[in-house]
Parts: sequence; C-alpha cells; structure tokens
Amino acid sequence: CASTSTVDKDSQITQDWSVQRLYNEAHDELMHRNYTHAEKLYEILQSRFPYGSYAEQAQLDTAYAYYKDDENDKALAAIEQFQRLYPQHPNMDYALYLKALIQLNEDKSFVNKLAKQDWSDRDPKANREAYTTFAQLVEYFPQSKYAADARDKMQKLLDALGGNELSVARYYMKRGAWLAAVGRAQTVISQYQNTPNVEEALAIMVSAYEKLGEQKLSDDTKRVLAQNFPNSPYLQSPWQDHNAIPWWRYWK
Amino acid sequence: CTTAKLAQIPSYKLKIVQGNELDQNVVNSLQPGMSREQVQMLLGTPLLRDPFHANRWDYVFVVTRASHVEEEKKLTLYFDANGNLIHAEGDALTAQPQPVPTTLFTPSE
Amino acid sequence: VEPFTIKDIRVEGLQRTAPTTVFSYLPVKIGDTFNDAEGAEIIKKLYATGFFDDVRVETMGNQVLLTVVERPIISSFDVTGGKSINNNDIKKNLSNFGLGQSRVFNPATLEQALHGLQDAYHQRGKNAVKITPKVTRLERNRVALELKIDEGPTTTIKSINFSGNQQFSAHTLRNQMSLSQKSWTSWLTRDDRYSDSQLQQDLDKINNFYQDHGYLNFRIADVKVNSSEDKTAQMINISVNEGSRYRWGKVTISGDTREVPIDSLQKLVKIKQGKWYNRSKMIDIIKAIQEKMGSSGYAFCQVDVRPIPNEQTHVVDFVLNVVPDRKVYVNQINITGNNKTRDEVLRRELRQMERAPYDVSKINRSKERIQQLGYFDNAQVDVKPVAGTPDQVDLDMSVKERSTGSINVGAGWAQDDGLLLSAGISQDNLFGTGKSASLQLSRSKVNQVAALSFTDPYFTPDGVSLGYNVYYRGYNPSKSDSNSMDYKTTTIGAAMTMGVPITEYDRVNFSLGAEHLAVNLYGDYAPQRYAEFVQKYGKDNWIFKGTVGWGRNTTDSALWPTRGYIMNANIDSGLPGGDLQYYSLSHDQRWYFPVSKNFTVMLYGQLGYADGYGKTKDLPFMYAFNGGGLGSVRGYESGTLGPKYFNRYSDGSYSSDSSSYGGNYIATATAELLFPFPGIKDQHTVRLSMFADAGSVWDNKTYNYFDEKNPYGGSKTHKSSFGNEVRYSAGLAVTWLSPMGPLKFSYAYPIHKKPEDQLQRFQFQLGTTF
Repeated sequence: CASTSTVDKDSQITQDWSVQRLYNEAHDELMHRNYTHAEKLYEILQSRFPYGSYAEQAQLDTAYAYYKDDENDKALAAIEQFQRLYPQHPNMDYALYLKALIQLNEDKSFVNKLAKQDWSDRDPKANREAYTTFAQLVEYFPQSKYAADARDKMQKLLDALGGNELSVARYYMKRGAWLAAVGRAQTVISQYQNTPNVEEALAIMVSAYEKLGEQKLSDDTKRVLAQNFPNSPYLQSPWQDHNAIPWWRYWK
Repeated sequence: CTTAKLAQIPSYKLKIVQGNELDQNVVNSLQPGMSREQVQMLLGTPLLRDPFHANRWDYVFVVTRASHVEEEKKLTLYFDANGNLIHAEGDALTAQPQPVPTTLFTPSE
Repeated sequence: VEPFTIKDIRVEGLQRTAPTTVFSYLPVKIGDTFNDAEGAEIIKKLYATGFFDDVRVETMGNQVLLTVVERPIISSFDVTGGKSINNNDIKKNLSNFGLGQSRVFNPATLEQALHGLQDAYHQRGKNAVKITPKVTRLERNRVALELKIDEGPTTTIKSINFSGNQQFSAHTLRNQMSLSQKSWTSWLTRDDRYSDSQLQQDLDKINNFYQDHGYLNFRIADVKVNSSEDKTAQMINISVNEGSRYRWGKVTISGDTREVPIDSLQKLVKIKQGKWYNRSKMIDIIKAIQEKMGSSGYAFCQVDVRPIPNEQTHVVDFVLNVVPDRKVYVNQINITGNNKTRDEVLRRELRQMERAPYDVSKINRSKERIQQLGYFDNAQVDVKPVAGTPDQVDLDMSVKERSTGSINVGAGWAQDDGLLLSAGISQDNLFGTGKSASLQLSRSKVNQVAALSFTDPYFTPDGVSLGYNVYYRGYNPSKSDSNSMDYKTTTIGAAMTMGVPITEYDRVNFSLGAEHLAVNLYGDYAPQRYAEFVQKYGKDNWIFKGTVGWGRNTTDSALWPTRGYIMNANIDSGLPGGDLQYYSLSHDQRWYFPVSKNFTVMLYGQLGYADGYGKTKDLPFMYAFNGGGLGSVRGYESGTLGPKYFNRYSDGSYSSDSSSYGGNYIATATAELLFPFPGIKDQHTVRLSMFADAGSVWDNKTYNYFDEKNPYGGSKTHKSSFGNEVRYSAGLAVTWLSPMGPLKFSYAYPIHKKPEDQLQRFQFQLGTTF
C-alpha cells in the first residue's frame, strides 16, 4: 500500500471501522483484561479520530489500561496528557482519582498482603503525592462520586504520613538522638494535628526534653499532653517504645 | 529471660552528636536588645525551638555515647514581644571567655 | 484600542479543542475590562497551550473575537533509512520532543528534533547525513509525518598530527585520546569516527596529561581540522605550546579554617618538594581539605588555589586559601525508594544524625554501610538547602531496592545421587524488616538436608546480632549407584549465633551449639577411614561446638566491592565435655584495589591449622581442611587437594577414584582482576574476572604404601608436605548477581598438574551454599 511504513495487523483489520466500533472493541478488550491489545486499539482510535468525546474517553481508558497493566509511568503520562488536553472535561474527577491511585502505587502483590505492611512504613514520597492529588479532587469536585472515597483515603494517608514521622521519632529515641526525636515529634504536632499520632508525639517530647535536662520544657509539654489527652497512659509512666517487635519475630 | 541479659553485652556504641556548636567568642559578643535576625546571623539557627514557648530560643549542644553525656553546653535566649533579646542563661555563658573584652552581659541575670 | 468591558467572547476555527477549554486558559472573562495589554496576554497564553498554530484577537464594539488555527494531530509517524541508529530508537527518542502518533504537530518542535538528530549522527561521524521530513495533510485536520534519512558516508580520521611537542612523542599523545587514526581495529571500536565534541574532550585529556607531568603553563595553541572534498576523510593538526616543566615548591594553607586546626590540613598536603608538579595530585589535596572541613560542618567550604611559579628555578609554590563559608547543620534526612524495606532498617545504618552538625565523612560512611547491607543496588545522597534557613540542609537519600531473596527449587538427576529434589528459600530482608531467614530442604537417595537459620542483625539498637540455626544432614552413599560405600552418617544439631560490633569496622562473632554425629557401618564396602574412625571413637558422638571469630570489613559494598579489605580470624572447636575435642584456627584476608573506573584487583589469602586435643588424639577427618573447587583452587575437584588414597574395602578390593584425607594445614592464595561484562557497564549485575589460584592442604605425615595400590603410581612413600601438595591454576570466571541469587561459573586450567589429581576445569555454583 501507499506508505512504506510497516502496517501491522491491527490497523489493517480496523481499516474501515467507525469510531464507535473501534471504541467498543477496545473497551471490550479492556473489560476482558487483555490490556496490551486494548492499548493498541485505543491508540489507533486516537490517531484516526483525534476529535470528539470518543478520543477523550479513549485517552482516559488508555491510562486505566496501563494502570491495570502495572505500567505506572505510562499511566501517569497518559493522565497528565488528558489533563493538559481537556482541562474542563466532565470526567476530570475520575481522572484525578485514577491519578491518585497510580501515585499511591500500592504494592498489590501477594507477598505484601501477607506482610500486612501498613502505609506508614513505606516511602512517604508516594503517599504525599497521592494525598495532594486526592486533595485536588475533593477541592474541585466536592460532589463527585469519588469524593467520599478520596476523603477517606486522604485521612488514611494523613495518618500514614504522621505515622511515618512518628516511627522516625521512635527510632531516634531508641538511638539516643534526643534533639532529632523532638524535631520529628514537633512535625507530627504541627502538620498532622488531627491524627491519632499526636498523643504519642507529645509523650516523646516530654521524655526527650527530660533526657536533654530541659525540665521546664518537659513539664510544660506534659501539661499540654494532660489538657488534650486527660487519661493518656503517658501521664503516669514515661514513654516507651512498646510497639517494637521482638527479635525472633519478622511478621507484623 | 536470658536474651534480655544477652542485650547487656558490651558493644561498640555510636557517638551521638546533637545540636548547635557554639563559638565562645560569638556567645560573648551577645548584647541585650539584639533582634532575632542579628542573633541568628551570629549563632546560626537554633535547632531547638519549642512550639509552646515562642519567645525562647535554645542552643543545645550535647554529645552522648550509650545514653551517658560526654559533652554538653546549653544557652537559652529570651526575647520580648517585639523580638528583642532581653535575657540569656546557660552554662555556655559561664565558660571562661576567650581573650575578648567582657560583655555588658552578667551571666546569671 | 480604548479599554471597554467585555460583553461577549467568541472563538472561531475550533475543530478539536472544546470552547470551554479555550476559555479556561483565557486571562479574561465576560465583564472584565479589555485593553491592548490583555489582548497580548491572551495571545501569549493561548500559544503557551501548544494547541494552536495561529491566534488573532479582534474587537467589534464590546465583543472580543478570537480566530485560531488549530495545530493538526499526527496520525502516523514513520522513520526510514536509519542504519547506524535504528528507526525505532529514533522514533522513541523523538517522542520525547512530542513527535509521536496522536500528538499535536508543532513545526517548531520538528525543527528542534531534526537538529538534535543531526547532532546524534555527527557524534557517530556521519557528517554528511541528510534528513528530509515529509508532512502530508489528511482530512479532519490530521497530518502524516515521515522522516527519510540518507546517512551518507562516515567521515573517518585519516591522520592526527602534533606540532610543538618536544617532550612527548605524537604516539604517546595519541594514546591519551579516544579518537584515533584509522587502524585495523577501527571496524570494531569505531574510534576513528570524527566528532567535534569528542575532539574537545580529547584536547582536555591532552591538557590534563601535560599538567600531570609538570607542564604548568601548557597551552593548546591551535587546532586545524581539514577534510577531503567528499567529507569522508579528516586530517587533524594540533599545535601545542608546552612551556617549561615545573617542580613542586612549598604548598601553604591560608585563610580562616575556624576550629579545624591548620596543621591537620597541612598534613593532607602529601607532596615531596622537588618532585615534578602534578595537577591531579593538587586536585586530590583540595578535595581532601574540603572533606576535612566538611567533616566539621563546613559543607560549602571553598579552596582558592594561587600558583606562584618561579620562571628561573622552574619551581612552583602554591597558596591554598580556605574559605569556610558558614557552619551547616542537617535538619531532616528523607529516605526514598524503599517500597518494601522499613525506614528504620536504613536509618539505623546512618552515622549522620538529624539536628546535628553536617559531617561529610559520616555521610560517606552511611552510604557505605547501606551498600554493605546488600539489599540495594545503589544509594544516592543529595544535599538540599532548607528554604529560609541558610545554615540548614536536608539530606535526600534515595535507594533502589533489589530482590534479596534467592529461592532455589531444584529437581535434578545427579549421576550417583539419583533423583535430587531440593527446595530452599533464603531472604535477607524478610518483609522489609532487615532480618534474614533461610530454609533448605533437599532429599535425594544419598543426601537428605533440612536446615533452618534465622538472624536479627539488630537485636540491640547498636547492632548486636542474634540468631539460631537448626540442621539435620543425612549422607548415605550406600544407596548411590556408582561408587557405593557401605556406611551412613547422620548429623543433627542446633546453635545460637551472636555478633558484637567492637568498633565502627570490627565485629566479634560467637556461636555455641551441640551436634550429634552418628556413623553406621554395614556390609563389607565401608571405607577404611570410617572404619578406623568408628573403631577409635565409636558410632555415636556428641560434640559441643563453640566458635569465636573476629571480622573487619572496610569494603565499599557487599555486592560489588571495589576498594577496602575484609579480614577474619576464627577459632572453631569441639569443646571439652563433648566426645570429640578438636580446634581449628583459620585466618583469611581479602583486599580490593581500584585500578581504573571499572577494573578492580582482588587479592585473597587464607591460612589454617587444626588438630585434636585431650581425648581426641588426632583430628577427626570430617574437621580437617580440604581444598579445591570454587572459593579455593579452581580447576581441581572440590575436596581433592591434600594426601590421597584409594579406599580399601574389607574384601581387599579398592575404590575406582582416589579420595583425599584433607589436612591439618591449609594455605591458599588468589589474585583476580575483576571487570564488568562489556556492554552491561552501568548496573552491577555481571562481573567477569581473570584469576590465578594457588593452594595446598597437607598434614606433614609420611604415608607408606609398600605394595598397596596407591594414587601416586608405584612410589612406596608419599610425604604430605606443603611443597608436595601445592597446586596452581589460572582461568576466567563470571559472577552473575541474578534475582535468584548469585551464580558463579569458572573455567580454570590447572598448571603442572600431577597424575593423581582429579581435575574439573569447568565448575559452577548456584545460589548461596548451605
């Protein structure tokens, strides 16, 4: 045929398909989980019919296909291109929701489920990025059907980010780096106020100040702890790292 | 149980260094009435600022090994409402000053 | 145009982009006031979207009319004619410029992309390349884009000549360059391909070469590159101005070094006055000074170098002026890239603390310790200033996790072992907790092994490790088809292990355990060694095993060491109270020297002596040293070094192969040149090496064979001395750090081997041995 470029099988058979047929065929492949083929068909659709709602939806579906295919970088690129091309698209809330899930890049593997690794344990950068995208979704589309789940995940991410700071503070207490522990505990108090980590953060500060010989600061912090958490166990006995797992155990 | 006793075995303990290292001459050159920016220019940014004591800066320097203190120096500075230095305390002051004219500042005000 | 309030905005020429999209990018909306500045702003904003070829703003009354010409979409993009760079690579590379299927077509980016492609071809010496783009318009505002490439001939370098070079010949200077004249190896190395950027780099290399040999004011006077008419051959002429050769004078350090004593910096100036000046030595000195200052918080310390050359005496003095800048503190250390590993597993290796003075030597040591864990491919530390606080920095440590587990499930058929079923899982970083566990189960007719081991490297916060291992090993050669021997040994044991760090680099390791060894003989084909053993020590023996060892490791990484050394000294012993009492002393050293960026020399040495004591007169054979095979003298079957004998069975017949008694003494040495597999240079997975091994296992006894059949061919006695038992070999080896664990292959040529040796030129080892 005319152009000398290598024409592969797919674009041959779909030579004279209408845009509807191309879309339905690709969508079908997507639902049957053969993602690579779906991605190919969506690409043909976008190059042949780059205008109209089918092309826009195809862009979104491609991102979803890459995500399910564990190709996070490509999925993210597809979503960002969608945001650039169609900033006012009605499905933008879904796009943001998908983007946040991609950024979270939860290790969906079986081993991870086994280890019940909670989010506060792992690299906070992914959590932070996912949090900001969920926040955009909730801000621009408060009534979207994804908003509720986004808010729930945001709270979980906040707890995880706070939990991460707290676990670092616990480590520095164990190591005897009192100032570093105070620093991390202060981050929990200033940036993650409404998470369950604040109580333990205050307790760490009380104990770290004592070790630094700053009795006044320790007592003042204890007073703050008492006001906010009147029946906190840390009021009676000083902070200990009780959630460290024993040496012979490796599961959570 | 025995593993707890095992943990007491003597081993190499890391030397933990924390906080601001203070240059004695600079500490001695502190003057009451200095602004926070001036103090920060001289001593550097304090690594201990308690969220519940906005008017107080703590320059703590402590070196510990296995939780016992090998070296420690403290300097606490108090500022008034519009951020001028009014009072200082801490052993960093009483350390014998280097050959520099003594400051106006009496150590334990 | 006078400003007016906008009543209505209309857009014309839109086919693809939705009007709402255009409005969202507009700086103005209905009701705002419109003036010329706003008009210019609209044009700027709309162009920035990259969707439009042309944007025109007109006003009619209080109506704003935008007429835009949308950029077409690329519906097909093909590249033809690419040879030295294949078409797909070109397409992939250009997609970064936004040229790809279903992307917006922008002529400006096409221009930029073609320019980049041209440079790439010049790099490869294709200076006469012609790239013709063909843009065909299609309906629905689409275009088909095609790039036709005609690479043309490669311009090769016919000659590189120098003028003005008295001290060094043109040949030595050419050797410094990566470009070279056409030679018979050029078809492979392609080093005769001319490119401007490569020439620039080579000129720097020549400059460095002269500077490193004392020519302080060396200058490249002029470079002339003239090419033949058809652009296929290039003649390069470089004229240099060498100047006179200088020797080192005094190097003094000045400037404010704050609390770092000046003489501690002066000690870093390791040059001998009178020797020829050498610039790279000076660069190393400056780096050392900056590192010393950086270790007391002066992260941004600068050193200004002022040479004071003396034209007559050709001696150059230097004044190094230290500018400390401010003392810096570390605010936060952020660890990223650890998807599976817990934050604490990394943080506990760091020597640099948060809220503490910045210390570059501690940061470097932290990176080393992370790499010594063996769970990460590489660890990178970036220093990021904290916004708003000039004297604080954050450290971003990014790591790349590697799979640390090696799962080996094997089913094989070994010639005398029969069907071998084995399954083993070992995981160094179990669920990201940094703890390591391994379970090995293997069953064959001859061998049954069940071994479980577990270690927590941080039983205490300071790195005291605690672990245990439990094992059952059954060995029953009577079931083997080839040389079956009528005996069976079963060992069952358990031990606690502990490791205590005594300095930053040294550890002392203990282990205490008990083992039960049962040796059963039956039938008349039991080897005489076992018969003697049972007759002397009985069938069942309890052994209380105790080991104490000292280890020091200063290498820079566990998986890919390039410098530093590892030293161990161990005492294994069967303690009093057990049935078998023995002791075994061993010491080994392993040194790594970086020879170049990719080449590393490794030297290894091992010495050992073992003997029985108390109840056990001489050393039971299973605790003797044996040599040969991987990790010892390659090219010889494992365990065959040392005095040999034929098994004499009770019915007087002899075994077909000789076996070795092993020995009380062992001494081995290896020299190895390690380098990455050509082609896979960047990531550290495959390492090649050329090696020379030497080793001996002996027991100083003299064996009299009289008329017995003996492996030494007729000679009546054999003195097992170091000299008689030493063996040499040389060869090539490959180590592949595969996701399934390390795989080692080696081909060794034994050097002046003896007739009684059992050779095994090709040897390999899968996964870690248990």
